Amino acid sequence: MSYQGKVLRVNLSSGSVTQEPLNKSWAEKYFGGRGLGAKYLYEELKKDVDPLSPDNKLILATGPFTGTIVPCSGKLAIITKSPATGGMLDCSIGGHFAAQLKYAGYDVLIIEGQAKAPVYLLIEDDKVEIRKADHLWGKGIFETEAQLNEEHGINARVLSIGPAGENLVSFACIGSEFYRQAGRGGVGSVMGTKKLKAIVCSGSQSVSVPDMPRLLKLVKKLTKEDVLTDDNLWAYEVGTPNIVDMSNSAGVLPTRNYQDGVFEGAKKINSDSLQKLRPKKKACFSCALGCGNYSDIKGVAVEGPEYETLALAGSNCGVDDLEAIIRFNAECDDLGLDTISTGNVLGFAMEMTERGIKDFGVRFGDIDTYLKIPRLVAHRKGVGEELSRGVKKLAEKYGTADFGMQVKGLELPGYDARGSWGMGLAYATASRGGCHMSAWPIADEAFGDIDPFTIEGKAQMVVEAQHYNAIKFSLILCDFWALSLETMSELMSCVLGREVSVDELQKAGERIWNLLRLFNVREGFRAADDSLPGRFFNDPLKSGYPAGKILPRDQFDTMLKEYYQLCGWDEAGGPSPEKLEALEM
Amino acid sequence: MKLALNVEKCTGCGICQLACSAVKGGDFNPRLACLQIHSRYEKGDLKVEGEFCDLCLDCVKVCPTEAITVKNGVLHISQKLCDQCGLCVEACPHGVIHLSPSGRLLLCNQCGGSPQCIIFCPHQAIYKEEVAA
Amino acid sequence: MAVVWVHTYGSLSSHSVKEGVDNPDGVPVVFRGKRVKVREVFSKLHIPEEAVSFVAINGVKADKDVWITEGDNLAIFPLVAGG
Repeated sequence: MSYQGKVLRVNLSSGSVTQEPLNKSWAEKYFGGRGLGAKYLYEELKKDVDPLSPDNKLILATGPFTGTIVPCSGKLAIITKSPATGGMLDCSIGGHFAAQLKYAGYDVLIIEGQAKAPVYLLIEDDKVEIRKADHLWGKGIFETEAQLNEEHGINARVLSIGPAGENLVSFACIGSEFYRQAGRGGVGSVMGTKKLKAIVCSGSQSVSVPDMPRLLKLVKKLTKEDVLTDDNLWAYEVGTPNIVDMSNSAGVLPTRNYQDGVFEGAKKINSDSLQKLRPKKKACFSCALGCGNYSDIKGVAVEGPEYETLALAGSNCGVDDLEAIIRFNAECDDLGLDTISTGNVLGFAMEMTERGIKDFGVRFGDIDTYLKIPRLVAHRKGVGEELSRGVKKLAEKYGTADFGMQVKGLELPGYDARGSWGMGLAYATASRGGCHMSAWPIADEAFGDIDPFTIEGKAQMVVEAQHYNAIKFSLILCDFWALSLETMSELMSCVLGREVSVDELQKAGERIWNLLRLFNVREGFRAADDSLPGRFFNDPLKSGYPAGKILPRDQFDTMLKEYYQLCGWDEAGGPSPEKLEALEM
Repeated sequence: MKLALNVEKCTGCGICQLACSAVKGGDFNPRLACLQIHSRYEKGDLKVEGEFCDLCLDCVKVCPTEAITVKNGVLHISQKLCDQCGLCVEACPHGVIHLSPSGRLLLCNQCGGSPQCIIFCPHQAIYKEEVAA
Repeated sequence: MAVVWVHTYGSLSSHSVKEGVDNPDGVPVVFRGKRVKVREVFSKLHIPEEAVSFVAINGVKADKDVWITEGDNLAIFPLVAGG
């Protein structure tokens, strides 16, 4: 079995560090990552906990695949209650940290309480220490990591926050290896409120599997026939920037706060423009694809920008200058800000300024001011103070919710739902708010042959994708490997030493998805929260393929109703007792 | 022939180390791999380096029981003769010799002709080159 | 003889002719007559249709069944996941 069988629990209030056995029956039902972390959070948190209080917990969860040669298994799930939404938050971070936690001997790390002064956590196998971090507090992520690596060696991996997390910005992130993030929902602020500056981990133990020759043979075959194939190679060849031209052609590229879906400057910020910089490739642990593009322009370097950053901090802000976006990206990565939310809030502020509602001192395309914003937000100075609260709070304050592009308090990412109605449902029903990582109908609607402007079949499409991703992100596998449930079950059978069927995985996916929902229902979320900003319902897109389109409100309502029915949820959007029983919850 | 790294092609995925430790030691443990790849950001630049056995033969020289020898141009370890003294581990300038927790001496013997690291590397970043005379 | 400018993305480029790779307008594809079907361009460039997600003509998404004419720009996109 590829589990280590241990949970490490650290309480920053009392300073206690304990090891406990992994809950086996939970591991059997929820596996790891998203699922298992959510189970621990659901069971250990009472409802109504303030996300920025010592009572919130930060859970780092690996999965049965972590630390093995299973392809694309290098990610770590970080689960907590979201400061931005007040609901369930699970983030996913790449790089090399997850494997180190497993090699240190732990499946899950649970961090509780709050330190009195800045600290960092050091984990070296059984040696676990809470160390002073006063000398690091206030520093950016890049410098923090460099110092910690200098002190703890080349094999140590680091998760850290920057000033944004320290200052409790609602969209602060956690960074690792400089340019990888657990980005969304304000996860960085949970570390910040606990005064936890960083977690350093290095492990020297092994991860075992019951039948190594069988696994090696399977992985060799899969790598050639299932990973390094046309389906996935886009990630290695070009990476996510590919998607700029795709979104633009399909008319779903957020432009000037989602006022339109086609950006006249797309050519200057697309994959061709990025390829001219001849980026170096960088992969996460165990990944044969390697989607990271390390680009250097006039002395500013960043691994990226990813599509989301090119969209939200590019077209969404009316910025068509690749160098500026790279600088913005590097700033955000160092300060510890989610580029999606930062770009979204900025676009929102730009529109309110141009409309004369409130002067934030920045307009679309104003690069000079745009570049100053991340620092102001991270330190909550000047306009940064207001912007740091996020789109939902700003919209409430200025009465501009109609074009505040967020759901449940999480700012929307890079796809316009008017050009992909199924994506609208995905945004509305994702567990952590306006998120594209639960289901991504864009692939089949905007980038495929499925009619984007109908609700027919969309509820089914979204439910299936949500269940698929729920199990996928619990094993843990990266989004970018488009593998089948059959392949997942083959791999699971190898690492668990027993036959795991597709049926079992499908059921687990549904169970996990229902658990995330249950958490949110307990916190008070209802059907009315599964909604979209007014702009999608009322303002027709102007250009390109979906010109003239809106997502009609009544159609959305019908689609949502169908979705609840398919999920076996009641009209208020909560899992029925029959459903929970059927899923053995 | 020894093994070397094409830094242009290497993405730092670590699959080579996973394969090596699995094949030699029976478990996944990159620290126990007989090659060590480092792909990291340092002072704002991406540095990629590979440590391999380059047949310097310091381990052969230092082994008190002659457990390590050279056969057909590659190292050979006799687990029977090895008494786990660890001198070779210390002596190796590349840090690619290890004693496993179960007492096996792990070193690079190029897997008897078909190195697993080369087989598993997804981007053909590891190759064989002549040992300097 | 007419020319259509074809821009392939990512892994699809490995299927097609590599001339003019650095040309932002793409690879010129020459055909007889005034127009050509998108699918004909796929076969001319040895791009399997299963590897294509969608196409865009002059920057706007289009059906794979349509005709393109002299001077048009055709973008051929690969399959992708995530974002």
